[in-house]
Amino acid sequence: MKAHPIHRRRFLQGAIALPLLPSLMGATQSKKAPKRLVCVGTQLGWYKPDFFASNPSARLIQPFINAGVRDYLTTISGLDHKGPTGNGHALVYTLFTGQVLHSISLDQLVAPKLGADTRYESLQLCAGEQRFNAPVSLNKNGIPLPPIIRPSVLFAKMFGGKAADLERQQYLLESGRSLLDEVSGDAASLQNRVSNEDGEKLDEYLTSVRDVEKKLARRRDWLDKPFAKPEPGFIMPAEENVAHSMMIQNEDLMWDLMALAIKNDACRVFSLTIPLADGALMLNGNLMGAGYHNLSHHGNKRAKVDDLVAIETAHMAGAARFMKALRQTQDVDGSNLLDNTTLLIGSAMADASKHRRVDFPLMLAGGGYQHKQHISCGENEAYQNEMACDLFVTVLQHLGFEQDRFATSQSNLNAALL
Amino acid sequence: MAVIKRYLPLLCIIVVSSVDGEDAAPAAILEFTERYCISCHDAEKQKGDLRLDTLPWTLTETEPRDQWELINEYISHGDMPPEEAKRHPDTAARDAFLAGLESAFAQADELAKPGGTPARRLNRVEYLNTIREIFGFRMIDLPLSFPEDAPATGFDTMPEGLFLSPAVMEGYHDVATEIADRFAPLPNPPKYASNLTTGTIGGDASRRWFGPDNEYLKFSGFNHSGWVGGLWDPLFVAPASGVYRVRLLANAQAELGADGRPFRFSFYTFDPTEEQLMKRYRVERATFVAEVEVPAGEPCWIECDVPVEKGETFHLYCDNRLLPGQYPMGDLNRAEINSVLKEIKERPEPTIELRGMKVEGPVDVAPRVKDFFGTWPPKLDRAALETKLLPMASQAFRRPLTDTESEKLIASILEHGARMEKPEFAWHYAIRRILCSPEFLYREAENTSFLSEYALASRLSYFLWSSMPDTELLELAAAGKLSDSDTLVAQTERLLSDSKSGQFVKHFTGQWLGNRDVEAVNVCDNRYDWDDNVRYGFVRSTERFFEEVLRDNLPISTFIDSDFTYANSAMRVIWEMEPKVDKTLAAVATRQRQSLVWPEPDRVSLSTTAEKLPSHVRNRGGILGLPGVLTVTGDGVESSPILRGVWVLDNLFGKHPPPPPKDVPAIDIDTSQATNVRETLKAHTEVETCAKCHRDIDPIGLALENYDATGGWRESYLGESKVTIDASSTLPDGTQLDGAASIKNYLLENREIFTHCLLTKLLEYGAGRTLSVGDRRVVEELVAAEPTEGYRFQDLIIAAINSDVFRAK
Repeated sequence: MKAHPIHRRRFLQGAIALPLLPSLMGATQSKKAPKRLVCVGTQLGWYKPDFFASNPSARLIQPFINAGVRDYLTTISGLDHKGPTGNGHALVYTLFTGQVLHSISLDQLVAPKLGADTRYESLQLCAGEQRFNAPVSLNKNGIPLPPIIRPSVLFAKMFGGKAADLERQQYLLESGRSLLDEVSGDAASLQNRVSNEDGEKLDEYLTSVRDVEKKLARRRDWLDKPFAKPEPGFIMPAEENVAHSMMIQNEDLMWDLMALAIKNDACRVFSLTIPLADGALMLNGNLMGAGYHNLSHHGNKRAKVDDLVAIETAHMAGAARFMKALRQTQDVDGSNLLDNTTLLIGSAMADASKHRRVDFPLMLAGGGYQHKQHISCGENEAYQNEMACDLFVTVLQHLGFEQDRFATSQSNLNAALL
Repeated sequence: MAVIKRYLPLLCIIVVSSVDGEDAAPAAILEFTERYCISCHDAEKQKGDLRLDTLPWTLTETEPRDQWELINEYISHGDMPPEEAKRHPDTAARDAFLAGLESAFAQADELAKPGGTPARRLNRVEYLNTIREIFGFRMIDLPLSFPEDAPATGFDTMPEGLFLSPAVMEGYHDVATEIADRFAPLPNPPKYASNLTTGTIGGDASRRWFGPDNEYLKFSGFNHSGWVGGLWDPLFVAPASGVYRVRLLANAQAELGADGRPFRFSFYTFDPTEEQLMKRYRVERATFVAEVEVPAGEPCWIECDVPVEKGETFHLYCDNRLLPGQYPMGDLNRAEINSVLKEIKERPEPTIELRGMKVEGPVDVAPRVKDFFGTWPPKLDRAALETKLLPMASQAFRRPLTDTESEKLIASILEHGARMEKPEFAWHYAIRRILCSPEFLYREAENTSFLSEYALASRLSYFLWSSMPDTELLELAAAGKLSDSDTLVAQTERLLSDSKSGQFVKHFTGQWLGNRDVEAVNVCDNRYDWDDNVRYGFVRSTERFFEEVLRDNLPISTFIDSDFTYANSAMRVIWEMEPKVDKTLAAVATRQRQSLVWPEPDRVSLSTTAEKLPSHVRNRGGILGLPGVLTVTGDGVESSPILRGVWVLDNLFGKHPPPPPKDVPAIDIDTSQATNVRETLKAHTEVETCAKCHRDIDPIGLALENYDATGGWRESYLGESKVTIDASSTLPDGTQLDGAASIKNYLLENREIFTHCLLTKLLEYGAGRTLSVGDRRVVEELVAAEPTEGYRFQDLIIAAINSDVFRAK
């Protein structure tokens, strides 16, 4: 296999930049800043001894220290969804649904409200191909949302791709809506002729058609508004590869593009799935000696753990860079973007080596919470919470939602974090 | 196939005993479970996620039935009650219970009906094949952002994995727009224009030959698999489908070319995103679309109209520069190609001189647009819609439209045309509207217990062709004849002998034998001989193996063990079958990389009378010798006995180990001292809850350990201490295994296992569902009816299609 060119540094580091927020042009300092949510889940877990900040030499915290954002995160231990262990991988998608199978994920719950004023209500991303198990975002019908796996697609969504023929776009969007209306009629008439089970499948179709109609309407409205311009130093690499060996390179771009999207207010709700990869990854210019999945089954062998942590450190390096970029950008209320962006990182695969689902690795970052480095939950601890959804209730309230329950929550973590 | 397929939902909601209309378990069964089972399997404890107090007794439904079957298995194996249980049934009680279960199962089988496939949408492959047939495009593909099908379990023909989310719907609308753009383009398309000189005309960088003083470009190439000597516009990617006018300032240096005809330029179009522009591409990726004669004498401007699809570009060649056969083709290395081309360059033969190129367009719509519509802009009236649109819709919907449907469609399109004031808009709209309709996207949507004629036609053609039914099938359906048994058999034979059945080979092996995973696997290539030629060889050798069993209607036992296999030259090198010269893989790869014609595998006879073969090659009969299969049951770095064991169980034994139960105790097994994989897996046998499934899985995987992560043969593991591999193990029924051959023998001796498995796979793929209780009864009958010589593959497929499982909705 040929070595692909090493990813190029894409990000402008440096002085605080003013945000480009077309939807809030002319905003004054006193304006309330919009809230954003980024949910990140891995399918192969995290190595917990190096994940929790209670360990002063936790290797996965080091990237955040290097980026100067160490004080804006809290790791939380002792929480999970109290679900069955089952097949090691099958339920890893429930991280943000709270183990209520086939129900809505946290990011999709907040998207209609948080994403009402941006070009895209929410965007689902994945670091390369996502082939096993479901990604972490599920819509209100419990259907997993296929993520964008190519950075170039995300880039085009934000900056408009090639110069569009506006008139043609307008025609397509308007005629598209009436077309979908007609085919909904087809479906309704078809439903009268089919079995109940088939009728349910057609419900899926009708729901999707309605959703797309809304999307087209929204795109039609946004057609008259200009796309943002990318930052001058930002260059997309010439080659794009979604094979698993290039996962880290792909993921790096996703982190950077997410930061750009938030800076440009193209979108306020994201999810990023870091997928299971059986094969070996390219890391720091070299192909690793063992597959990612293989390494996650480390059996506590030192060499394997070190390699696994090296991969996970690369994930965290992306997160740290993301946080740093947001922190260095001013928000409309005078604070910075990071303070108004909640970042959740974790996995429902609590221990990949043994396929266990007890005690998730969870990290809350940014968002303006009262960060505490590390919170230990459970019996005999200061915080007696058991359910991971307790954390999500706190997040929801902080994002402006008046609900004291989410999925399998029993309480919340307000006392610790707000 | 995916590693662990089925996740049995283990929480049941319906209360068993006294609900109206529910079957109640017989008293004897309930007595037994109350005495020996309930104390652990009640609401409070729910050991192993099983609640017997709420387990329904509906043995005709798959989920409860599967549960009761598991109970049957565990009790009969003595796994349950576990050793530490307080009470154990004596032999009489146990046997009575098991007998009671068996008879209840048999009764349920009498009642259970086959069927249960919900309406399913076309998957990616089916969608593409169908639109290629309807519209005649050769090279259309789904956009990169189109979501993947998501078959978490099973085949991609099964509706559980074929959601229609908003993202998919949007993707369908986008593709429909793309098709409409090509087939019935909107007015005012985006345009392109360029004006190139000898300095700016693009060409194969190392082979842009110039005449004296660089006055002109010399055509010295040919266009076969080497794609040598082509010239092109380096920036041209067609912004819209249509005809582009290419003007060339050129002259030939003689009247006639090597073939005795006047010199000419030929134009070949292709999608530049498929391969990087400067590299070479397989010849079948490009389409010859136009040619123009080049007169001898002074340079003059000649013109050629070149049809190009949106997103494509073209190259031009001089096809009659030399006689056919005088050009380097096929399997050459770079040095050989270079020397031939040097020779060509220095030969004083006449050729074409090119001094300038101008490209502009589109100047007109593509020829097929005028062929279809007769005139452009197209006619938009009732007659035109009736003669052109309704047949297209009928093809798309795979049945004739009703009068109401026809009227509504025509009215809508006429209205759209009137509103937009131009007929192009109406036709563009019509195509999108048809392709977004659920009547196109979904098949077998009806309220029947047995498929109607048209639905049966669809199911048959998508099974064997992954594409829409043709005219003959639809005519038989219209006449109500397709469901007749003899007709159905004859049609099956016809479809199988048509070349379109190559799609069945590709997509069934892609999933059953893991070929799709082979396409994508990442092999750690500093440990193994691995490159694209090897990968291609693995994929194609599996396909060709399958194809031979299919085309020659060989016995299905051939899948277990055979006296032939397939290998391409890259594989032969790895297996040390190549002759001494140029033996290394690197040398082979270099030669092939230059021609970029990946070598097809050839048949390798494994019979004892055939050529001298290494013994591990001679033992590669059947599926278990195919390196593709052996590769996807590893992680590209190391083989995995667990993955292999599960794969073999799933795909050859038809057995699907259930996932580990919730209350697996928190074992902290220290495997850091294990020196090889066999020791690491010992833990499975030591813990009872693990052993129940791993006693099936591990022995098979261990018996295959002589095959490394790419299916190569090894006697010992890599590493400092050369541990010789011990491929012996024991199956739960006591059978001793030692190596792959022993697994094959086991399956040959108990042939009903594989027959059952293969038949099930075919029906799951073709009928698009996990088999229900009623389906399984039919399968068991077919397995029992296996002729003494064993089923042959085509005969098995025919039997499957003719069965109630396939015919039931």
